[in-house]
Amino acid sequence: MMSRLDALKVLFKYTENIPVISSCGNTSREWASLGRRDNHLYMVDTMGLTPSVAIGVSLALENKEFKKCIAIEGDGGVLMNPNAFASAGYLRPKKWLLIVFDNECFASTGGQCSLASRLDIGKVAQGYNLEVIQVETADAFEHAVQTSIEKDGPIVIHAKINQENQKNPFINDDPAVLAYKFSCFLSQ
Amino acid sequence: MTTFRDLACEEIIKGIEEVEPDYFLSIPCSTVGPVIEHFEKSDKVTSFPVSREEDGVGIAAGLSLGGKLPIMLIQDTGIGNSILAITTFAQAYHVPMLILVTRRGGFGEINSAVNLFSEPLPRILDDAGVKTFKLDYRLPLKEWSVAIKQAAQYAKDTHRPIIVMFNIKGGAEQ
Ligand SMILES: Cc1ncc(C[n+]2csc(CCOP(=O)(O)OP(=O)(O)O)c2C)c(N)n1
Ligand SMILES: [Mg+2]
Repeated sequence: MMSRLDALKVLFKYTENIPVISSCGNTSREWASLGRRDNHLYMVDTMGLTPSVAIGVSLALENKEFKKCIAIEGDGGVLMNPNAFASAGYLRPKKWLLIVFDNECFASTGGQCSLASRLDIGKVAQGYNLEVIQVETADAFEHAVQTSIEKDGPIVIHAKINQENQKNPFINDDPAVLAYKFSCFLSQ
Repeated sequence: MTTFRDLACEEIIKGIEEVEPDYFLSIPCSTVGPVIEHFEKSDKVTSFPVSREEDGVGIAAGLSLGGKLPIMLIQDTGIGNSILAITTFAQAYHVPMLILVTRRGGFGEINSAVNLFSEPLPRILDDAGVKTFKLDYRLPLKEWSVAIKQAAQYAKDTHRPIIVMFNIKGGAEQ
């Protein structure tokens, strides 16, 4: 099974010009360790909110060139805010792509068992009338990323990953600066 | 007979229309039903319901980061569902949005539980440093639309969420 970092490395190749919003904890830290970009918004808290923020961004970008707005969220975060599934299912934002990294645990806080160990998040998303692509390998993940960027959303990539968790430096930037860079990128 | 509520709703509609927001997000409160019904039919503003206020703050923040102006209308209990998103996202990341909030609790409230949240809410928001303006019987109704317009401008100019609370039941300050 791939690690979160393996998957993030794949995603990094395809997101030079695509807005990406990454969730708090080690996901944003691993993501930032691959290289900072102004089109990548790093969330430092507000667990579970990236899918909601990405809905708003994808609606705002409907008439712009950007192909997608991608949210990266963990299984714990998604189950903390499944409301975003409801809104995506209802609003059907074409440019919304959610990547759920499902390691069946709260890896960032030490790997404690999460609810995803007994629930299928892909099926949950399907219940909200969302298209779901389920992947377990880096190759399948890469293929899913490539195809969903080119296709109309809303789409959820449900990626099973192992429980590896890199300890990268904390993102301690002023959030106002992170947001400013991101919205300047979006306004171009 | 036209009630205070009817007049307040008209004034809130006028204020929102003068702001010309791109999006109007809401979760209904019975007191402002006519406002939501008005914007559901509007062809000038894109209006939609949200499932929970926290999700709404996230969506509004995304719209705002993308250069659009969102207004969200909720009842004050919804602040309890969204205060983490308001503080650690909208406020921390300097994302402007206008959140209009109807007051519950206080004179005229018949619910036997909401007062436990609605009464302390202004203090909770003050302690959290979330800027809130309160409109009630002391501000002439014809000034409410002006206040809504100024609040939207203030959110943009000061780069943060601004809350405007309405006490539509009339009566004493809570
Ligand atoms: C409201 C809230 N509760 C708890 C935390 C602590 N916390 C930070 S990251 C995290 C784990 C997130 O789990 P998941 O979304 O599955 O991501 P993973 O780390 O497993 O990739 C938790 C519980 C938090 N940031 N916010
Ligand atoms: Mg997890």
